[in-house]
Amino acid sequence: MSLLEVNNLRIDYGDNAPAVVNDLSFSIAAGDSLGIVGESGSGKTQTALAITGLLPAHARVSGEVLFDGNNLLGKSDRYLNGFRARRIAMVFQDPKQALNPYLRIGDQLSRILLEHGLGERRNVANRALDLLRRVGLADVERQYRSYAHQLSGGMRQRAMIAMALAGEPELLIADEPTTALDVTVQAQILDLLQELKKETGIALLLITHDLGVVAGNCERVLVMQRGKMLEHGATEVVFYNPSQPHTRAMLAAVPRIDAPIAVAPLSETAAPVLSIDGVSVQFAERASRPGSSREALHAVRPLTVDVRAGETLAIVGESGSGKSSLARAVLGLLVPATGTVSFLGKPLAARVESRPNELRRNLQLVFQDPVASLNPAMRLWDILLEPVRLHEPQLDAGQYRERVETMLDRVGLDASLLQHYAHELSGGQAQRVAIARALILEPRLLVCDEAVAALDGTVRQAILDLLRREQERSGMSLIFITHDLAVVRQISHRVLVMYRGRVCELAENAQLFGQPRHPHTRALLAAVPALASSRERRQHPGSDLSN
Amino acid sequence: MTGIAATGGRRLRESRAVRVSAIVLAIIALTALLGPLVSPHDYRDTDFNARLQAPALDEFRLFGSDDLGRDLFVRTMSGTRVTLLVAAVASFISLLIGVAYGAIAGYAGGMIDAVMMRLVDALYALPFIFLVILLMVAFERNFLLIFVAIGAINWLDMARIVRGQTLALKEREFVDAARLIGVSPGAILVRHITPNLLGIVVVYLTLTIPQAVLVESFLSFLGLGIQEPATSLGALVNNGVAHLERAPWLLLLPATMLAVMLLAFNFLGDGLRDLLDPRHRPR
Repeated sequence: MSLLEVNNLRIDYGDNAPAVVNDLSFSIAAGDSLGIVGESGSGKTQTALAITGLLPAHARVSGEVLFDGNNLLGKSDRYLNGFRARRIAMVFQDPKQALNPYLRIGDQLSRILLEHGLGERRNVANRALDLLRRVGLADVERQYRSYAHQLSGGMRQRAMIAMALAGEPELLIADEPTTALDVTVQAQILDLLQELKKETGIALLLITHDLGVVAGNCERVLVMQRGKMLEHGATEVVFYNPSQPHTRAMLAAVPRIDAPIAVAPLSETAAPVLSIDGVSVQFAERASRPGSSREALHAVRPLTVDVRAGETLAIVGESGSGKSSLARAVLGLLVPATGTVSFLGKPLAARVESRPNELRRNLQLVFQDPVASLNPAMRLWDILLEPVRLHEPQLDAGQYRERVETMLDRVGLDASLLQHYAHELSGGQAQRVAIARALILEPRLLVCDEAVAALDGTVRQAILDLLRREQERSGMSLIFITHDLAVVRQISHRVLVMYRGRVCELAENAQLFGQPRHPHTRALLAAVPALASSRERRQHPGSDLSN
Repeated sequence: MTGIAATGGRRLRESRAVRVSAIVLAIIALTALLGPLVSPHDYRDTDFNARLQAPALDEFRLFGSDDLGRDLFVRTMSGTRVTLLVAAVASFISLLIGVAYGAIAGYAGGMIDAVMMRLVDALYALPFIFLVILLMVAFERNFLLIFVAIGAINWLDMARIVRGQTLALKEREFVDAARLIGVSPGAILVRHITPNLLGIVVVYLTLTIPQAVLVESFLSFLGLGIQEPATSLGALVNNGVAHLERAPWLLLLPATMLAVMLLAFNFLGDGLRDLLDPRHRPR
């Protein structure tokens, strides 16, 4: 008999709203692993919440969720608490949100153990330390006494997994467990989940938007789209022989480090548009102890690089590597500690407010979170009109309308959206608007700071294509900042790899992916989850890079 | 800004709590304006033969009369007018000064922020009642002074709240985007920061209005507020307490009026906050 059996699950939020999950059935046997894959809004997280009974009260659920023969749907929290932690445990996407900031890690873990009668007061600390050791944390006594904010993202997720394992559950539901983490850390966490599965025989339900994450880690995969199951089968079969067009599109959109380079090579004579000369960024950090002196945090060590006309320079690094600080210094949103930024040979003022307007329009930025980068109180029309009106006050109403509508058309949006607010758009649409706002001024340099990190696979691919098309059209230069090397494989001319504020490697695209020189570059490359058994590749980094 | 107002206006008609409280407030304001015109009595006229009369229909003594034989209905309506006026003007003053001051301090940051907010701290330190008494002594007793005094304390709170909100807003990415486009700091404040402050400002206003009403009645009780024979709801309530045993309507009727008004303001503010938040979707 299967451990978990979901039959005809349906979730909706009222008669007029479409069902978020519709007629979904699947099962997981003890010790089995199933990956649920889908883009945002496909209902995968709703399914997980339905299994654990965590759906909001106004959700309407029908169907069956049988765990070991017991139907969990519509049961009271009291009843469900007999299953939670001890038989079903869950790991959430963002461990920073899921951990209590006011409790030490050890105390949180101990509480779970005590709450479920898994330990007695005198030995609970030892049990907790054991668990922390088991999830691969070093120096566990110290982590036991730490608060969540004192741990790194990867350590926090390990602590979360330790808490999930506290009750020795039979089923672990992991909802996007690595999405908030750096790629190298993601690889470690996925390895840990595999190890635990092997050791304890726990069944794993892994929910993700990233096909690469499922590839090396689940025996079976279920593809969802708009609340419905599209495909379900052994991972190898679905990935190598997908029957549905949507699955094929999702597979095609997985960034691959062996994909062909899609940008035209740069001409030898291309002149530098932007010169970054010895730019460094420091933040004054508060003294760690009273009495000790204030230490400066070196976000970016002095760095020199040129961006040539029509070139795409990718800046790749993990969180904290200084890549965003560098971008903000270039754009004048942050005053660098040393160095100058020159545009077309002329040095720029450090603060954007001190730069003349006709220079300012040439350096534009696209942010990671498209919704946060659009003013929630403005309609799209006003958002797009603002830059044009500011820089070309002489136009008349008809010309303004034409400019805005042409731009909107260029980024692939319909003019009927102009009267909407940003929150009414999907992530992909909002990012198109943000790109339109930046491009409507025809800048010579566009900085994209993790511009596709928050987007789903197929949407991400579309945005990358859009950026490349716009570059070909106008010959602008791009600085493309990302944590994911695979994303920039197709679209960049050169790649700059940063680690803790320093440059590891600056190389032509083909050379960097073909013969990475710096160990950190190799580590980043090895950590990219790929469809072809990522497990093998991780052990032989660089083995399938012979492109 | 106008976009938000238009959407707010359209949604205003859709939300029931807001609609009901808006209607209640409109009725109160209308009766307060028209009631005294309909009644044969005047709020100043004393009638020694009609002291402490219970509410009755004959002679249009709807609310009865007080210890000096003055008609309570007309006095309540006249008091409501005064109270509404004080609340509206005082809130408007605090809104105007507080939002401008707080937003400028928060957005400018650094030294300017420090100096502006220390000034607010200093003003906080002044004993308010003492200040009002000084004002009353220095100038002759003046209705206008009550507005000034109440507005002068309320804007301090508003400025602090708006500054805090501005500090958070100016770190948002859409503000960076505006800076890169070349929008001037003043225009960023007006177009990008202020509209996003509206929600919290409206909520805070609904706290300010009842507060202004209460401060006004407190001042009236001390004899520093509205002067007899003119009256306000607060003054009427205070007078009603003195005659609670013999004539409970003297307390109950004005107090009910005050309570209904404050409740309606609270509901209105609550609903308006939802309506002015562009992320809010009507359910």
